[in-house]
Amino acid sequence: MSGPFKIKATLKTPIIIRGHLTFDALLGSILFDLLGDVEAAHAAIPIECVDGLYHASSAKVVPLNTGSFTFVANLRAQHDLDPDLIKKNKAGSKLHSKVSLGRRRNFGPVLNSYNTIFTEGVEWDVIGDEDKVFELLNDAHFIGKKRTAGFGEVKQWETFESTTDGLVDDNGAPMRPVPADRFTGDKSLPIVDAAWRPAYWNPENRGACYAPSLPA
Amino acid sequence: MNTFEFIQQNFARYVLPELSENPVRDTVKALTMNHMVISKQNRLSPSRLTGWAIIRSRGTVLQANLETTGEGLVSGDQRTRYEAWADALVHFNGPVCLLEFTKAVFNISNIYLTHDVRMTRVCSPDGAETFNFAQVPEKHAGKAHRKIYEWTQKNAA
Repeated sequence: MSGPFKIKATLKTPIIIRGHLTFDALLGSILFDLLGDVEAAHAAIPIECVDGLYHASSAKVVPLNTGSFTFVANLRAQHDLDPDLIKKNKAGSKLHSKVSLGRRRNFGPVLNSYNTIFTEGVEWDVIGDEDKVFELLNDAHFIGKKRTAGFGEVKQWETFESTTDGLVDDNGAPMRPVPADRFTGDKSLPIVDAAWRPAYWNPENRGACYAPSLPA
Repeated sequence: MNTFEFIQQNFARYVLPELSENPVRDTVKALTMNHMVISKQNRLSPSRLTGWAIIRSRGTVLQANLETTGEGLVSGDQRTRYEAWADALVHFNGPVCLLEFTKAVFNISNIYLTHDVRMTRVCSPDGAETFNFAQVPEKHAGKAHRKIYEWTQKNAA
């Protein structure tokens, strides 16, 4: 069954979102885990796509509260580390840097901080095949960044009726990054440099877009 | 023209012997390679880019004094980064890429164009600061926003 619908993930735990979490990106990552091929995963996303632009909005979040969480990454000098994995000097006789207790300043803890969002749920507007989408969401128990640390745990997925096309809302505001020359909404809004098609991590997919503001 | 085609055409083409068909590769190479730079003592030596850069279609400006010259390339600009960026934003006319160089290698994912001063992006190897140039910086605004605002106020006075 293909058509416009709204999808909501009710969350158990806070979520970490960096950038625009579009629904096609979410499904693309689930499909990549299943298929193991980037292009095959993108081709299988059950959402309407016109010249690379998916009719799937960015995540809409209404924060109840925000916070931050810092992860510590350590390279422990006591661990066995294969010297072949470390870059050598030009002569190939010495390691550039030797991991040892004596040089811990180079290999100490690295702190990575993330903004966390406490919210009841996350919503997207989509045009696509609702049944196929739901089938894929059976495998989506966590969403957003740092899923393995327990962030973004989904309690349930629900769908509702929607009248938007997943690109522009009723007020003419962008619902996801849309290339400036293909945007049909309010053109008085600022244009930003953003990735507008998957793979979103690939800088080649960036361009001048109208885009919603990013979550906190 | 996407972000990296823009940088390829307005910066990389001046400093690379020839352009490839891959704008991302040319951008990475142009921003991270050693350039022949003229020092204050008038000596020529290879060096990574330092200071700041403003890349735009109507003329790219660099603080580093490159040996390479071109009709659309000005190098050796003596202004501070905030003074130069403030001036570029006051006279904004189309996309511009505002870059700050540090000792760290530039991460390509931190490079963005500014298409509208309401969403100004200052890019550095550590990340990209985004702010509305048309607004007075708030208490927790980033350093670039505060300093650029100070310069514009100073010039206006």
